Amino acid sequence: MIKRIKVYFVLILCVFITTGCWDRREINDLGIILGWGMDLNKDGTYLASAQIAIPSKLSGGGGSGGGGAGASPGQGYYLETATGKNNTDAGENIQLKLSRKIFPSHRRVIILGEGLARNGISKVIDEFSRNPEVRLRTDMFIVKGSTAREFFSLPYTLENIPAIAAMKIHESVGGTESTTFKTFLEEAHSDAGNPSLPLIGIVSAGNKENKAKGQPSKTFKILGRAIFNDNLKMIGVLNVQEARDRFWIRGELNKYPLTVQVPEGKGNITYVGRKYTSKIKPILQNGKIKFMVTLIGKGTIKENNTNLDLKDPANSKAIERTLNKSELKHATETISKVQKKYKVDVFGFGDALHREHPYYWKKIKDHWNQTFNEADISVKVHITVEQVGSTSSALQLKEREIKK
Amino acid sequence: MKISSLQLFWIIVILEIGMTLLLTQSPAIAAAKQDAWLSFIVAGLAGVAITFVAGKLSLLYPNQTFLQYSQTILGKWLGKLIIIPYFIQLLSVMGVILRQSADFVQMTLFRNTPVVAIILLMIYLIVYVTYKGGIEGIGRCSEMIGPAIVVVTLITLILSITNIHWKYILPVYADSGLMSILNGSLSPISFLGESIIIMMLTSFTQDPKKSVSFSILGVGLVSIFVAIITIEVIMVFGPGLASRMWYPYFQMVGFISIMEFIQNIEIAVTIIWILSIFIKLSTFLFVTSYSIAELFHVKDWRKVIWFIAVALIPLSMFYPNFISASITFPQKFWLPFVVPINMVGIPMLLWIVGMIRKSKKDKQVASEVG
Repeated sequence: MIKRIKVYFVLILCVFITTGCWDRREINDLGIILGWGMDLNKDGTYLASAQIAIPSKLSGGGGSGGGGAGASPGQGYYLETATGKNNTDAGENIQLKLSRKIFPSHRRVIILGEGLARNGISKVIDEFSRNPEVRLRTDMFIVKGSTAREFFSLPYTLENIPAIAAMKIHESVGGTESTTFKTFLEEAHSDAGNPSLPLIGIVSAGNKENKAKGQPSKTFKILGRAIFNDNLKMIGVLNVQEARDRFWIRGELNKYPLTVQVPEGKGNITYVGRKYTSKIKPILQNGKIKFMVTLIGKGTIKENNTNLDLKDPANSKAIERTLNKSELKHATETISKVQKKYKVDVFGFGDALHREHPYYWKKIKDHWNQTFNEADISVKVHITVEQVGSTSSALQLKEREIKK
Repeated sequence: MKISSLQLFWIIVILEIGMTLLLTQSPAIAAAKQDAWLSFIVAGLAGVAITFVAGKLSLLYPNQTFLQYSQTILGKWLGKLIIIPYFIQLLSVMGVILRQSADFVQMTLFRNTPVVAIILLMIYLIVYVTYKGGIEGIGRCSEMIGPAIVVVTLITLILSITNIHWKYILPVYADSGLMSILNGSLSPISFLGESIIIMMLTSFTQDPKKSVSFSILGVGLVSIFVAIITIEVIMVFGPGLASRMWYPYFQMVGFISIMEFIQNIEIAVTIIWILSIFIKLSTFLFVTSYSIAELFHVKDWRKVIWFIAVALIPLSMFYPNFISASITFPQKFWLPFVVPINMVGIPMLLWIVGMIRKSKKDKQVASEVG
């Protein structure tokens, strides 16, 4: 009998602990934020823009086809903005207009206006890593000459959520996979090197025919990278090619189509690397620091508009020579532009020096950028043509036109 | 009520791995930067040494409990007195562990749930397993949970490989130096040294000798394992970011994204952490209840469990916030008092005195026989 009472007692206890929990959050009570934007207002407050998913419009938009109007652009999301003193404050002000609770865990893209970036983003970005609900795997972009609010007002044809489009474009042109924010933080807190962020710009889209079909007249495009100084104020811009040089020097490049005019062949070729690596060798000489950068590329010829027959090793050597020369010039120009104009190390030379000569580094780390500006940096390029595609010489050429 | 050597091995592994993995990486990296893995190796050596002394000590009288052999060695009163620091250690640390784990679970999972609710559920669980199964139940649970923890950790280790940057580990030694590395090893030592619990557990094993060597092996393996994970954490985030995160390993797992498909798996870390806390607290609860019952001659040691279970609620809620449980407690109490006294001082004292006594006795026996 006593045993039975005990069993009942335990069972009744179970009722109290299986009532569900304080933290139940149903999916239809959540405002899932996919993109988040911040702009600086004139009075020092911030304007936050949130791109919030509309789950009912997202599901089956592309897959089921026929049914509803789900596939048309600008349907899967909803834009809400509010001002506030910081991210959370502005978020709470957005919440005042939202029936669903703000849920930032899927916030993959953060857009900052150029005005905010020029003013310094140091006071804005803490929440992006402190909030346990969000993930560090985030992409952050600066909108050139415009605001995040403006950026989020653009619909995008190919994706349900425009914010995701920015991330995908960045990846497809060779950017890192959702790690720009983490890399930014690493560079921002270290003495060796300054951070940069991908730059995105608003441009006019497509053509008149598209417009007639009711498609958006404006779209966005990757424009390169924004460079930041030690106070995390945006001080300059690298264009797309220069940004790729930067990636290559850092050894993070994964796509860089090089198109060069080959004088031997009276035409141009386009070369696409399969693998790009780099070596930075710091050399200490009589207390002066020198850097030797070696850029290595291995890849294939994508387009050959010359009359060169690529069967002949001498011809592919000639192409390699031209590629090396052109990239050497370009990389050197990029480095000296950054040294002279922006005076900050965005290439990771400081890191290389730190690793190679840690004790020398300790002496100069407090004024590294000055040392970097005066440093002598020489570049070597080793591009190899591993493959040439499906044909040797262009098929349309007559036999006598081909240079062997 | 006996456990096998393998069960003791898993108890020790679980006891050490959960907290060490989550709570010691950040302070170690803050002190030793990218050389924190060397700190873990140093801490591993210290942990093995502490376990060795504790093991050798308990093998002097393998069939006696800690309270029994401390009295055999030091006499009735001193032997009883010497267990008091251990009660203080175990009771205080149980409160802290409960609080830390509840804070962690609250932060990562249940943001609106009161901490005390999470603590109560955990107390309910540990009381259940200790009351129903005693050390045998804990041992059997460990045999199930231990391999699961190791496998999950290994999987996270492998999945993180795509995020690593080899260069973050360089330069070795130049940035930190010997003092920083030793400084960084203090926090892991204070967790790895908890293996002294085998002093109180050896008498419950079927094969004490084998159990002790298994425990030493367990501590060694855990420290190597954690050192490897620390290398990976440093290579994912760099020493700068990792030292400012509360739980770098948890963040590293949260950072995993394989083909945009395998991602957001850090919840697995929360689960293995809860499992590891469960075994750790149950073991401590068992040891404390059993020893208190022995000290006060309570016939049924299970009755003591209830008193401790109730006492644990104020002991864990005593800390006003997260910082005081996670920073102040280890710095102001654990490192200056518990590590030198409970983990090094008393076991060494008992071992040396015990050996002298035993050899004297052996001589006496030899001379009497001879």
